This record gives sequence, C-alpha cells and structure tokens, in this order.
Amino acid sequence: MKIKHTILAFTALLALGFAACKDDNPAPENPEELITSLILNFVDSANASNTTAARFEDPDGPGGSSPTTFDTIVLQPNKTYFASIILLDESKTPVDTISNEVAEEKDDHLFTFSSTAGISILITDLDNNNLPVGLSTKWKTGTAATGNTIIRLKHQPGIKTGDVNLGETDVEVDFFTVVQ
Amino acid sequence: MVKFIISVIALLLALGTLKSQTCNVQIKGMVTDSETAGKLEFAIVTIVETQKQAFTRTDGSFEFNNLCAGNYTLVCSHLGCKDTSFTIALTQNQTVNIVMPHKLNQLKTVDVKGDNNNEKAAGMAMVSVTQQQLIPLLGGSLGDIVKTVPGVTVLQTGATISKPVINGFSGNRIVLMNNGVRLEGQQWGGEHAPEIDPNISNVITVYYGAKAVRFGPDAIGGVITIDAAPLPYGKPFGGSANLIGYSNNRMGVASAQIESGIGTSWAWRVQGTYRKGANVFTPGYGLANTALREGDFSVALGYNSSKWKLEAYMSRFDTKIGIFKGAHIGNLTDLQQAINSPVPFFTTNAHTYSFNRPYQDVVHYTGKLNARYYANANNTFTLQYAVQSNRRAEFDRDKPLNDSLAALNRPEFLFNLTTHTVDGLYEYLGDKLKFTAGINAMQQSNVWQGRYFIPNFRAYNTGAFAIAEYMHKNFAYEAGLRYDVRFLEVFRNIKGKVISPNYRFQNPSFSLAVKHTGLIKGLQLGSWLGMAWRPPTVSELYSNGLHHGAAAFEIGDTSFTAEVAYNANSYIYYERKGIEFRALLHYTYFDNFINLEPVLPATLTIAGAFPTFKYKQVQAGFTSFNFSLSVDATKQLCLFTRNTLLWAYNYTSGQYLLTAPPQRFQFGARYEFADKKWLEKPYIEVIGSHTMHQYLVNPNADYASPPPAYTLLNIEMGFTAHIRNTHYTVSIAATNVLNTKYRDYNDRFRYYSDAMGRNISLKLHIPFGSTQY
Repeated sequence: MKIKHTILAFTALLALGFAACKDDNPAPENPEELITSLILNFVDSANASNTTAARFEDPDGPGGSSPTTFDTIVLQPNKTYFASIILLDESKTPVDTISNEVAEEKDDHLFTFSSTAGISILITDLDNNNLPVGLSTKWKTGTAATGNTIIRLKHQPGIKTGDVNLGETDVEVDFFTVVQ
Repeated sequence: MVKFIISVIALLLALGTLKSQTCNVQIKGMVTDSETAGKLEFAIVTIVETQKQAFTRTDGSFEFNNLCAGNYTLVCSHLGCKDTSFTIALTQNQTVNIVMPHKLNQLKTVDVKGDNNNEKAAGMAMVSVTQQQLIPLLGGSLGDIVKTVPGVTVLQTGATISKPVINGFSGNRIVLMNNGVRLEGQQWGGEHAPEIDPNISNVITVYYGAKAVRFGPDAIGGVITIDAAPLPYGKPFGGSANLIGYSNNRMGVASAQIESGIGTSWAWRVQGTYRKGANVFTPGYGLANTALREGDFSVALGYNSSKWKLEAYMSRFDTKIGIFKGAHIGNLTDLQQAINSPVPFFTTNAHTYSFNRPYQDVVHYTGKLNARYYANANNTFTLQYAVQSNRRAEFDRDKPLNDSLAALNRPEFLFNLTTHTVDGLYEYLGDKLKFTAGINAMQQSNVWQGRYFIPNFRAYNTGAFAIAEYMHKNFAYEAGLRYDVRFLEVFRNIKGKVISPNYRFQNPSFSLAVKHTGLIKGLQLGSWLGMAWRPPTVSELYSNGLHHGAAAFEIGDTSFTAEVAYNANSYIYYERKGIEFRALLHYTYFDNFINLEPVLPATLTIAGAFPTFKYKQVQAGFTSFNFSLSVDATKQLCLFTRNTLLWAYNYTSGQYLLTAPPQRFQFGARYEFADKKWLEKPYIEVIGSHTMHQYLVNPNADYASPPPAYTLLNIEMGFTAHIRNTHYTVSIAATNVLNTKYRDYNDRFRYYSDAMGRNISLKLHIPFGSTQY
C-alpha cells in the first residue's frame, strides 16, 4: 500500500512538472525582425534636381529566393553628392522602416564605407557622443572609374568607439560602382 | 533466426517455471583479509542472480535468508581488494568463508578494465571508469572524464562546452544512458553539450559496438553509460562531499550526496552539484564572457524485497554558459577578420563571474520509475517509464534593433523537447547461457519559439531486441538482433498555413561477436560484426537558416533516407604479471552517411555573404586503431601509453572527412610511494600527450586550415588519508603545466582564440557517516 502511494505521488509530481506544450500549432517561420532592403539615395550638391538611387532588395530575407534587385551605383565624375541610407523590412505589411530604429539607437550603430572607384566618402551625421553614424554621407567622385563600394552597418552596443572593426555586421552590401 | 530466438525464449520460460521453489535456505558467512587475516567490515556480498546484497558487519559476518535452492554466483567486493567471485550449488543452509586478496597498490588512474559482471560476455569491448578512478576526475564535464579512455576524444566549443567523440563519431551517432534512461537532449548542434552531471555517477562505461543493440539502433559510434551506485539497502546513513577549485577560470565546484537505507527494504539518495566559473584564460589573454554557472540535483528512492525492486529517480540539470563574444560573429568578412587577427577581439584581464549575451541556458529534467521482478534465480523482468523535458534557450550577442522587442530580452532560439519512454526487459541468466530481450517505445515532441531553425515535430519510435550470450569451453558467443520503426510528423507554419509532412523509417540492426580466452594465460581475443542505422534527424531534414554560433548558413534536405552503418572489429587484450595491453581495430562502412559539407556559392544576404553548408548523403568509411599498454617497471613505477588513430574517408568526394579528430598519442608514468601509517597510496603521475596536425583533410575546405600539432604536459599527485576508518582523498592536478599556447582541431573556437592555459586544481573527497570511501 505504502509503495502504491509513493508511486502515485511521484507520477503526479512528474505530470505536473511536464505539462505539455502544443507542437501541432507552430509559430510562423518568418522572423520578427529582418532587414530586406537597402536604398541609397543620392542628391547632387550643386543641383538638387539631379538625383539617383541604388537598391539592394531581398524581400524574403536571407536564403530562399535570391535578391530581386541589386543595382550598380552610377555617379557622374568630379561631383559632390549628399547620400542617405534607408533600410526596410519589406516582408512585413506595412513595410517597416528599420533605418528609423538605427537612427533612434545611433549611439550603438556605425555605417562604414569603402570604395575602389576613386570616390571619397565622408560621414556627416554624429551620435550623442560625437561619433560618426553614417545614415547621411557626402560622396566626392573623381575621374571616370569602375570599382566596388562596400557599405556595412556595424552593431556596436555599448562598445562604439569609432573603430570600424568592432561589433557584429548587420548589413554588408558590395555594390558594383561606375563613375562616368 | 527469429524462429530460433522464439523457441529459445519458450524453452527458457518453461525451464524457469519448472525450477523447484523451496525458498527458505540460508547462506551465512565471514569475510577476511588474505594478508592480515583481519575481519573485513563493510565488504559487499552480492548474489549476482538475484541482485541481493549484504554488507558485512564489524565482525566480518553476513547472511542471506529465504533463498531458493539453486546455483548462485556470489561476488564479494571491498574497496582496495580485488573482487572475488565463486558459485555455489545451494540445496540446504550453508556457511561460506570468503578470503579477500588484498591488493591496495593495484589501483592505477584510469585504466582500461572489464566490468566484473560482464567479464564473460563476448561483446566485451568496453572501458569503465569506476568510482575510485573517478574521484580524481570529478568536477570536470562528462567529456573531460571520458576522454581519458582510448578511442574517445571530445568536440569542444571553447573551454566550457564539450561533447564526447567515440572513434570519430559524435552527437546523434552516440547513445548516452544516464542512470538507465536514454538521454533525449538536443545533440544535433556541435555546441550542444550533453545535459548530464557526471558527479552523479559511480561508474562510467564506454561500450563500442556489440552490446549497443540493446540501447537503440543508432548507437553507431558506441554507448556511454553513466550509472549511480546501487541504492544502499540495509546500510546506515552515509554520504560524501567533493570540493574542487580550479586556478585558470577560478571555478569552484561543490558536490555532495547523502544516502541511507531504511531497514533492508527501503533506501534513498539525494545528490547535488553546484559549479561557478569565471572567465577562461589562454596563455596570452583572457576570453571575455566565458563564465558559467551550473546547478544540478537528483533524488532517488527505492524499495527492495526478495521478489521486487522498485525505484524512482528524478534529476534536474541547469546550466548557463557565457559564449565568448569574439566567437559570435556575423558574416564571412567578420569571420575572416576574426581568423586573421592573432589576438581576438573581446579579450579581458578580469576574472569576472558574471556574463552577458551571447549565452546558453539549458534546463533538463529526467524522471524515472523502474520496477524489477525476480521471478526466480534465473528469470528477471524489468519495466521502466521515463520522462524527459529539455528546454534550450540561446541568446544572441545583440538584442533586436526594435526597442520594444529588445526590452523583452527573449532568447533568439528556444526549443522545448519532451520525451516519454517505456522499456520492458526480460533477462535470463543460466550457467552457460544469458539471454536478454526487450521492447522500447518512445514518444517525443518539439516546440520552438524565436528565430526559425528547425520546425516543430512529433516522433514515435518502437523497437524490439533480443541478445543471446553463450559460453562454451574457451569461447563466448554473443548474437543480438533488433528491429525499429520510427514515425515522424513535422508541423510548419508557412505564411499562416500549417503543413504537416509525415515520414516513416524502419530497419533491422544486428551484432555478432565471438571471444576466445586461454590461448596464452591472460590473453583474450575477440571480434564482432554489426549493422546499425539511424533515421535522419529533423535538423538534417529541415534546417534552413543562419546558425549564428557557427556563422554559417545550414540547409537540410527533406529527401534523406536512413543512414546505415556496417562495422567490423577485432581486439586483443592481455593482462598478466604487471603488463596490460589492449588493441582495437575498427572499421565502419556507411551507406548514406549524413554529412554537413561546405557548398559554393556562399549565400548572399543583405548582411553579406555567408559560408553555406548543406547536409549531404555520402558513402563513407571510418577506420580506427586504438592501443594502450601499461607495464609495471618496478613495484612502485608504472609506465603507460594510450593512443588513438583514426582515418575517416568520404568515398563520394574522394577526400578525408572534415572534423575527424587527428591522431593522438599519450605517454605517462606513475609512481606510487609506500604507505605510511595513515597515509595511503600517495602517488605522482606525469602524462605527456601529443596531438598531431590533422594532415588528412583538405586544408582549403575549411574556414581556416587545421592548426599545427601540439604537446601538453599534465601532472597529478594525490593521496588517501586513512583516519578512523574513513578514507579522505586529496589530489592536486595541473593541466597544460607549461602554459603551452595551442589550438585544437576539434575546438570550434580555434578560429578565434587559443585554448585554455595552465589550470591547477585542488580536489578534496570527504566521505562521512557510514561511507568509508
């Protein structure tokens, strides 16, 4: 009798401890937060109506279908452009503008730029600690050239010093670039 | 074959019930020491057939009452003595006197030894690490303990996460039996360590091959069993505590157990372990965010009568491990940068015990009810139910960009895996024949939250097996057969629509073994053949996503079939006059081996290009050769060597398989000083181990080519203090004594940082109550 009670109590305890979850009702597989698109908008500093843009768009996120848009950056020689970056999550309805969140947490983020097409790129916006952010930039082109421009977004929570090597890479797009 | 087994079962059952049933016979006896002729208290006398145990009283006497007439094997064991066993034909009350040969100096560190109960079995290619050998190893992880066995290596993720590798097989190709319950954790990831506290154990055994049929079809690489001591029926209150401190990561481990019998019918045990470590230091720098915390406990309760043994067991394992920040990286560029920098980012000088993201938090519960019925001297029936719940949470380095999501501080990955198992077992033990048959049923379900990596699923597994062992003259034979069916139902939610594909896998598995003894005194020769299989796991079928911990894009294949392994093995074992030699040659051929291979091109995402790995089914062959030799050069000095060689080949690609452990060699010497009054077994041991450069694999097929060879020196010394019938063990051990800077091929952190530097530990083992060791 004593044994029976012990076993019964133990079984009850186990049953309580392992209340089952629902496995046939899975959560949707699309992630809550995703960056699908990067849009670079250029405005000629000498002529506000001379604009151009370059886009990278991968609406279903990493993996799955390949990116649908991957533009070449085409700029005119010996000009200065103001450039701004917009990041979107186009997998959501309505589309979520991720760059607004980057702007809100600018103390933790840093865009880095490097170009082999003879373009010098200067960051013009600063965070609360007077460190560069990179949502706004100034691009100075030289003579006609072709090359690549790599744009990276580094996530540097609590460790941002201006060092471009720190942190995890949230965005890295390598645009083919033509100055003509 | 099946017919034969059925007829054997029928015959045995008939024999079993025919046995005479006069069950009022008594065995009385006395245990004495062969050298001192003194009476031995606390020797354990076990009747193998009934598993009844008795402890000798202060005058060395013991007795068993209400035994049935029949043939019995009695085993007498006393710590410091060699076990003695003999058989008696019991027809009436009998008195036996047992003389125990005293061999205090026989104990070497971790030696390759046969388990006494199974010494006769043909499929005996196994290595046990028993209680006294375990004492100096306690405090470490399961991986740290089993890697002392030849043929066993570990797959590391930094210094704090390790999982065992047997002859090149790990993860889902090894079965871990935790106190009789098959561990159903989440072994599919390289950085997922087994959810087991080895401090619970009294004996850890590594089985290669033959016996594996009993534990499941998928024990391709082998089985590791972690067993607690039998519950202390009839024994007074006792227990022990282990206190361990480590210098490198300032880790402290406290572990204790208390146990007692309540009369001769009831017994209980409570055990707990707590460990807390700070940042790990390599010879040049400390690694930020590598602290850890772990708290485990278990409770066991048992009832024992002449016919029944009922036991309940419950354990909780809870670990939180900080992951080195420099190893949690983004894309291919980040990885290249990490590999190319000689000193990683995120080093530290601080010995801090706190850690932050990224980290893992794993909680594993096990509950077990086990009933064993001794029908008579030869026939035993066992029924066991177990439930396991595994909750694995992984937190990425960075919180989400969105503030409201970040504020929830949720894990990026969360898996809840629940498993129910029922096992039925029948055992027949005769003079020449031992027969075991059983059924296993399993139901498992997984629920995920966070970022998608593997889908929800439900799996059902049913299997039946039979193993017969037969001894004739100098030969022992063993044959095992098993059949399993696995159903798998997967649930996915794609854009709000739930789809649920089904799978069914089924296959037989078998093993055949033969052993010969007595060609030369002390020599054993053995061989076995086997076939095992493994259904593809859900991660192999369905992974599709970024594995941040590995900085890789992993892609499964839903068209996979089961993986089938055919193996052949031979061994030589020789033990006589202070010489012990063991050699094991093993070959496994795989049909449809599931392998994670790099593929081109890299997956292009907005976060850059990611190295991409696809699961592929290939034909593969694993050849390994393990050999060990120990020689008592003098009465005090023992020289030994242990070596593990492995060649793992992919026939499909014509190249050696990546991640197979490189060849390892180990040489050591142990000197045991003479006992002095209370000071027993003082020893010093020096071990040098050399790990070769993994020259077999294509160096360009990996992110970083395999690291160069390295040699490490370890020194350990210790003694036992015998004070008032209690034996306290003290040991000081230093690993990587020369503070050698190295990287290990099987350490996933080798891309980012050096391995752990010098680590000195102090261990105290304190028995109390009636526990003497």
